Amino acid sequence: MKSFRIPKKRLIAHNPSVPLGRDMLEVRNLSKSFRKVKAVVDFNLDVRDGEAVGLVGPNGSGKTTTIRCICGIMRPDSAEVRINGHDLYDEPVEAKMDLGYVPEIPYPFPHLTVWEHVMFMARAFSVDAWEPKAEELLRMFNMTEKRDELCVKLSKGMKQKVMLMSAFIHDPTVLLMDEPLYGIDPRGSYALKKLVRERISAGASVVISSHTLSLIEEVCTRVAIMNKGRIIASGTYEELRRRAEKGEDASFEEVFVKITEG
Amino acid sequence: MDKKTINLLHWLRFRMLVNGLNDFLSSRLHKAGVVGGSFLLTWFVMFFLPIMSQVEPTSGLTPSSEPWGLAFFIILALLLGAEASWNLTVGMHEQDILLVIPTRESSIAKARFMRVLALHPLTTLVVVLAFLGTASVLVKIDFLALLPYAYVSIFLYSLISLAVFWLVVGFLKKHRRVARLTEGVFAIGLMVFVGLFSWALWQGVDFLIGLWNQFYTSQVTRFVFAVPLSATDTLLFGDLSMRTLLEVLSLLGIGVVFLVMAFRYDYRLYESEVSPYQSTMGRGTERESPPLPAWMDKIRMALRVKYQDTGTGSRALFGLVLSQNLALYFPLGLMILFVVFFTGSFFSVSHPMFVLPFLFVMMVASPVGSVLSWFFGESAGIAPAMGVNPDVFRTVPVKGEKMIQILTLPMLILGAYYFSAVLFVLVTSGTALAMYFAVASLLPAIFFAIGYVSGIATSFSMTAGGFTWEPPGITKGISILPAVYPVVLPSILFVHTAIAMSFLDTIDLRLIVVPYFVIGSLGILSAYLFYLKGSRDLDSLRPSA
Repeated sequence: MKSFRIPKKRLIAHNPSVPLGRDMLEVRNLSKSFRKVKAVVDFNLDVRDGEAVGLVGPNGSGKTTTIRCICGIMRPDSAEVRINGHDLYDEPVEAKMDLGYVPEIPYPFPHLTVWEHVMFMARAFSVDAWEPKAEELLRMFNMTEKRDELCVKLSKGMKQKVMLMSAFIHDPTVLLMDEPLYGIDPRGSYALKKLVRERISAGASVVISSHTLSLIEEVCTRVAIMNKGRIIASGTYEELRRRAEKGEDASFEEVFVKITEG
Repeated sequence: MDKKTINLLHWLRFRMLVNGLNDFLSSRLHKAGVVGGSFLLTWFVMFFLPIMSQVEPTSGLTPSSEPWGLAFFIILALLLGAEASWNLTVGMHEQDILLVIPTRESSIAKARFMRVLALHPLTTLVVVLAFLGTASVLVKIDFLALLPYAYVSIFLYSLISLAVFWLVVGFLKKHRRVARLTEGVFAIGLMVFVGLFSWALWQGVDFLIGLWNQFYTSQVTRFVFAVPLSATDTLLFGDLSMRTLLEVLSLLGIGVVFLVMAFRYDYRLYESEVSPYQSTMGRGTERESPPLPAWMDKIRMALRVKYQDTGTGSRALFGLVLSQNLALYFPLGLMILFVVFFTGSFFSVSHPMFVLPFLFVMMVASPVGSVLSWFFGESAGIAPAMGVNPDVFRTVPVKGEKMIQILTLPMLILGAYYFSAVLFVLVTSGTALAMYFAVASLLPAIFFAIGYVSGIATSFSMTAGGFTWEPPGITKGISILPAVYPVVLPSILFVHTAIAMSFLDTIDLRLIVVPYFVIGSLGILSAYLFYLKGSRDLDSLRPSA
C-alpha cells in the first residue's frame, strides 16, 4: 500500500527561503448559489507565498465554481477576494495582473495559432520580451512543431497545453489550476509539475483543483477537501490523516474517501 | 475606456477573422463556393446596374421611376443587418480567458458592444465581394457616393439598437422574474403584432397605406427613421406611396432584425448564471460524432453547423437546420431567393409559380420549422445556428422521436410540391432566363432535400440502433426569444413579399395571410408553452447540493 508520508519532491514545493506571513491569496466568506442549489457555502482560504494548496472533493462539490469565482470569471453571491493585496472587485486590473488560470476544460481561441495564443496572453499581461519564454514553453510541452497550428485543429491534450502555456507566460504569482492534467501526456505532465515547482520556488501561491490525487500529493503542502459546497476538512496530510483516524501507512486516497464518506 | 484591452481584442478578432478565412479557403469545396458566390454577385450587380442608373444622385435615396433600385440596398442591408449582431465568435469558454486577463469587465463589454464590426468570416467575404463588385461597376457614377452614407446610417442604427439591448440586458440579468415576464410579454406582443398586421393586410393594401399615413404612425416613422433616412425628406414628410411603403418596411425590418438578433443573446447565459456543470456536460456530448454519412458531414462542416448535441430530435432535425440555415441565416441563400423573387417581378413574369419558391421558404418552411422544433423539443441543431446553447431546447425529447416520423411526410409532400412548381416553370417558360432562375432557385431546394432526407435517415438509423436519450442534467437556462426568432425574421420578409405580391396582383393576399397567421401564432404560442414547461422541467433536473 502506498505510504502517506510527505514525498521528497513535495518538500521542494515550499521554499523555506521565502518568508511566510503575507498571504498572496485571501478568500473570505465566498458563497455562490445557482437558483436553489448552493454550490459554494462560506468558503475561506489563505494561501501564502511559496505555498501550494490542493483543492479536492467529489464531483459536484463546488471546486470549479470556487476557482471560477476566485479568478473573477463568475461573480459570487458574497465574497472578499484579495490577490497579492489587491481586492479582486475594487482593483480587478491590479489583482488579475498577478493571476494565472488554467480552466477545467481547455477552450483556447479556436482561430488563433498556438503562437498567437501565447502572444495574446503575453500582450494581455504586458509581458516584455516574451518570445524566449514562449519558445521554452513550447519546447517543454513538446509543442514546437504545432507552433503555427490553429487551436481548433489541436487535440484535447494539446489544447490543454496551450492553456497551460498561456497561464505560465507571464510568471504569475498566484496560480489557479482546475484539473491541469486534463488530457495531458506524461511529458506534458512532467513539464507542468516542473513549472509549478519553479513558480512555488519563486514565491508564487498555487491552488490546484484535481481528482488526480497523486498530483496533489506531489505538489501541494496543504489540502482542502470540499463536499457539497463546503470545506469539510483542511490541513497538512498529517492533520488530515489524524482527522480521518487513519494510520501512517494509509494512502491519501483512503484518507480522502474516509473524510468524504462521512 | 481601457484602450489597450480594446486594441488587443480587436487584434484578437482580426487574427481570428483572417485565420478563419484562410482556413475556410483551404478547402477546395469552399474555394469553389467562393467562385460560385462571386459569379452570382457579379451577375447580381450587373443585373441591377441599369436599375441603379435610373436613380437620381441629387435626390438622395428617393427612387425615380422604378422601385427596384432600392432592392439592392435592401438586400445588402439585410445581409449586413443579419450579420451585424453576430457574436464576437468568442464563446462562453473562450470568454473565460478574457475575463481572467487584467482588465475590467466593462472593457470586454465595450469590446463586445463593438461586435457590429465583427462579421462572420463568410459573410464578411460576401459583403466585401458585394462592395467590390458594386464599386467596380459603379465607379463612374455619382450614385456611388451614397453607398457609404447608406452604410453609415445602417451602422448607426444598429448601434442604437444594440445600446438599447445592452441596457435591457443589464437590467434583466439582475431581475429574473422581470426577465421571464418580459419574455412572456414579448411573445404575446409578437402574436398581437402578427395578428394586427394580418388584420391590416386582410383589409387590403390601400388600408395599410392609409393606416401608415395616420398622424401618429407618421410621427413614429419620422422618429424611428430619423437617423437612417434623414436625407430623404420626401419619404418622411410626404404621403407614402406603394413603392415607398415597401422601402420603409424594409428598413423597419432591418431595425427589428437588429433588435431581435441582439435579443437572441441569452442574458441568463452571461457570467453569473453560467453553471459550471454545463461545461462538463458539453464536454461529454461534443465528443460524440453525429451519425451522418461522411459526405453529409462535410456539408455540415461547410455550412458550419455545429453539432453539439446527441439528442434524438437534434439528429433528426439536422435536416431542418440545414434548410433553416440556408433560408434564414445563410446570406447567399437569402440573396438567391431575393434574386428569384425580384427578377420575376422585374420582368413582369407574374406567373405565381415564379414566386412559389420564395413563398415556400418564407411562409411555410420557417414557421413550420420553428413549430416542429418545439414539438420535437430539442432543436439543438437550430440553437447553435442561432448562437444559443442547445440544451435550452432539450425539454420534451420523447415526443420528438414520434413526431418526426409523423410530420416528416407532410414536409416531404410540401417539398415535392416545391420541386414540381420549379419544374413547371422550367418547362412552361422555355426562355433561357427563366431556366436560369429556375436552376438558381433549385439550389435551396436541393439543400432542403438533403436536409430532410438526412433528417429521416438519421431518425430511422437511430430507431434501428436502439438509441436512448439521456437526460441533459443541468442546463444553463432557457429562453423563449431564440425560439420565436425563426418566426420573426420570416415574418418580416414575408410581409414584404406579401405586399409586393399583392402589388403585382399575382395572388390574393388573403390566401397568404390566414395560414401565415395561424402558423405563426401557433408557433409562438407553442414556443411559449414549451418554454414554461421547460422551465419547470429544468428546475426539477437540477440536483440538490
